[in-house]
Amino acid sequence: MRPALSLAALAVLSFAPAAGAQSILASSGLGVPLAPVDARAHALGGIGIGLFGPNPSLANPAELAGFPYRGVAASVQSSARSIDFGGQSADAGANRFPLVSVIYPVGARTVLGIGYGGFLDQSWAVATDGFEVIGSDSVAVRDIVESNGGLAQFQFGASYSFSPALAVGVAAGVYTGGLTRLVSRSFTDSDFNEIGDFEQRFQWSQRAPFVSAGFRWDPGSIFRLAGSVTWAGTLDVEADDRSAAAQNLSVDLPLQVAFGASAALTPQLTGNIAARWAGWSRAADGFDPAVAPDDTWEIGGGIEWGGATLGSRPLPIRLGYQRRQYPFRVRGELPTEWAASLGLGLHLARTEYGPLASVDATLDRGGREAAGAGIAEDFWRFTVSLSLFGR
Amino acid sequence: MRSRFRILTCVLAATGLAACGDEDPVGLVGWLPDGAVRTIQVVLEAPEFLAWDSARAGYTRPTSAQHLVVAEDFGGALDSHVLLRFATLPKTVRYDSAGTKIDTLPAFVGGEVVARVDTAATRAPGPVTLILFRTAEDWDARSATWTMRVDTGAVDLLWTEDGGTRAEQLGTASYAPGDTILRIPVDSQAVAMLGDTLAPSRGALLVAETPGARIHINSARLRLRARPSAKPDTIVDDSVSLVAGTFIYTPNAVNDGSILVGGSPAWRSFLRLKERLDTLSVPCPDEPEGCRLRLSDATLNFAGLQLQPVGAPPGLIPTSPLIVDARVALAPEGVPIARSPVSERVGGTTVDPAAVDGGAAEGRIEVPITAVIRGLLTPPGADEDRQPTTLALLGMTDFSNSQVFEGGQIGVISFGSATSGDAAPRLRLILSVTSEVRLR
Repeated sequence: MRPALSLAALAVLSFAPAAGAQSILASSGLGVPLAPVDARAHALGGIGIGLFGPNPSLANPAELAGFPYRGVAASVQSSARSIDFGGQSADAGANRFPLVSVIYPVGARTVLGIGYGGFLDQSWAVATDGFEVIGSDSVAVRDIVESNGGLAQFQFGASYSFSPALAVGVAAGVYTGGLTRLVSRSFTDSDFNEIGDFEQRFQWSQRAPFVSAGFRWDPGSIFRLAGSVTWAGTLDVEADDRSAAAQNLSVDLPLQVAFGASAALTPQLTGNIAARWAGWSRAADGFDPAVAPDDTWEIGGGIEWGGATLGSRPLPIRLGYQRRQYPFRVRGELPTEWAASLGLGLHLARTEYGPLASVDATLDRGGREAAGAGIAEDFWRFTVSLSLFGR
Repeated sequence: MRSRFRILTCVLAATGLAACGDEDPVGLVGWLPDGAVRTIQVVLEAPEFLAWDSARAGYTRPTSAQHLVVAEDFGGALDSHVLLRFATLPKTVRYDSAGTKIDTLPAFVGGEVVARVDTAATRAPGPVTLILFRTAEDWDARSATWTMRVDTGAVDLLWTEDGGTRAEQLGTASYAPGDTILRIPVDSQAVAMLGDTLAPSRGALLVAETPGARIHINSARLRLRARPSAKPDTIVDDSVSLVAGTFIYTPNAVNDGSILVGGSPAWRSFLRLKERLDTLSVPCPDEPEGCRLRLSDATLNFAGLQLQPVGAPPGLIPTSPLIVDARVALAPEGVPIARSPVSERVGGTTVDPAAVDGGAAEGRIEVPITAVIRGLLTPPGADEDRQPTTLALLGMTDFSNSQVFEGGQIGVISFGSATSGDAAPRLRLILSVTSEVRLR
């Protein structure tokens, strides 16, 4: 199994930096947040904490305790969006990898995990056409600013189960990633084809430590509570030496508190609700007022019906809704996002502890806007997760 | 179990590959802040970028030119004579229409020198009288000049008469402006003289008698009329081509300190650019007074060497487009700049003769030299000595789309030099900068 696991992890990790832009709003500050959750958690509100059943999301290290077997889970997400800004419309698409997680139980009470997931997406690209006066001539130009990169979280976690009803977990890791910004200008006027193009590349590397702790408690057989706290240090954003015009930046990353609850509403129907608060305002001093972040809330919930089957295999159906604030202002306005979700799962090779393999898919329809800034996006988002475990 | 993991691996890899397409930029006017990229134009004056310039002559011979020039007091100065030497007269002629009957003892009863004229390059005030003489002295087509009939360095022989020593007159003709063919009838005696291979002075000298004319001849042949001995009542035509042809002229262009390009023999001009252009600074675009932008901190989009035409040497005004080619003079240490090998073309522009016609300057011409200047705007490494950059400007003539020659025409253009004040060269730079990139 190990070679296959390694290869699977390598496949996902290798492609993660190539992920495309998620939102034009990522051009503000350090970008837009990404939830390191799988497709199932995505369909149930997107916070990824306090869910019944195995939950490979990185929001709460205590939920590693839900895995009786070693295994791997990974997600891929694609989105298509239409953007409206100042009366202009544009379409764009993006791909990314929100999560890959490797779980490894050691003994009856302890489960170890390694996770790699998104935290902030900083990929976006904008082109604009205009004119530049050069000498006595007005020359048509096309400017493109293209940003590629993001901040991912890489964490080692462990959970310990005091009993089947109570588990705690801790995790430590780093937020890390690179950022490349390419600024270019081409002269599109054929009368000036001797004027060469302009291109300048800026690069940064980013790193910050974090630790988190959480619990998962089932006070009854039909009810589950969970919570986690994540403390992060200072994010050092260091410009490549060759990028003379790029500036370094140090930002205190926010304390994050997440909590959630699930309940079995009927034998086949469960519900989940969760929320996360992030204290981004502590980072405000590092930014211009028009960009400065503020504390954010994310809230989401959903229901999962386990009564459907495909042949003899369970086919859970999920409905969910989520709403979140973005931390960084866009032209002075704090953007918000909402999404409604429809999810399906397919469980293969079920055991008494859960499926040994599953495929989950979630389709979101949502929108983002910073109303005062005149920017709005509508999107379709599709997330697929694969999980595989071995006894 | 193992097979399931293999499947997962393949699915993840395939999905990953499928998910990794690049995204095209979103076109939104106004989303990017103004001034994300600024492009400015800077014009440097000669003292800022030019160390010195120098013009040198003698890079080609008139035989390199693709035409011959006959002129009389053109532009109030230029006299030019054409020297012609035709191939040996044929020993036989064919005298039937099928070409199967050959006569080995033909009698050449006359003929004509037929020249094809470049009417676009020719200047004629009206009908021009031309006279063809036999040359009285031997001459060397590769080295003959107005005063020297042989000038190889090893052998130097003067003409007895400047402009080519004349013997018998062989023929005369009148050229009317616009004619594409010039015909000079010659009699049998002239044909014999032109074909006499035993005479060391074999050849002809074509001169113009009408002042103000400059006629450009692209090619010339000697057409013959022969009477076969086997059929004396028949006249047949034949022809022989040139084996040597050149032109000799006076006065030559004089190095008056200008930047000179063109001519035949060709002039080249060398411009030594200052080494540390990267250290120059210009006012920042749209920034407070006092802000300076160092050129090395900007990206060069274009660099053009602007030259001010100040006319042409007397009589040597170009009558065909002249391409001013910029090259890098490699100038190895110890080699005089005049003998410096030059690189391939790094930039160039075509000068319309109208730009300098009559010596009137109608604005600057611009030679793109972006690649050269880009190198000079890059700061040298700590242990790296920057090689001085010397530009060589060559005058080229395009005879067809694929054949461009230096020394292809007699025309020369003078440009203002570093010491010419307002007419001195300028360097136009188009530079782009991006504002400080911040994530905040």
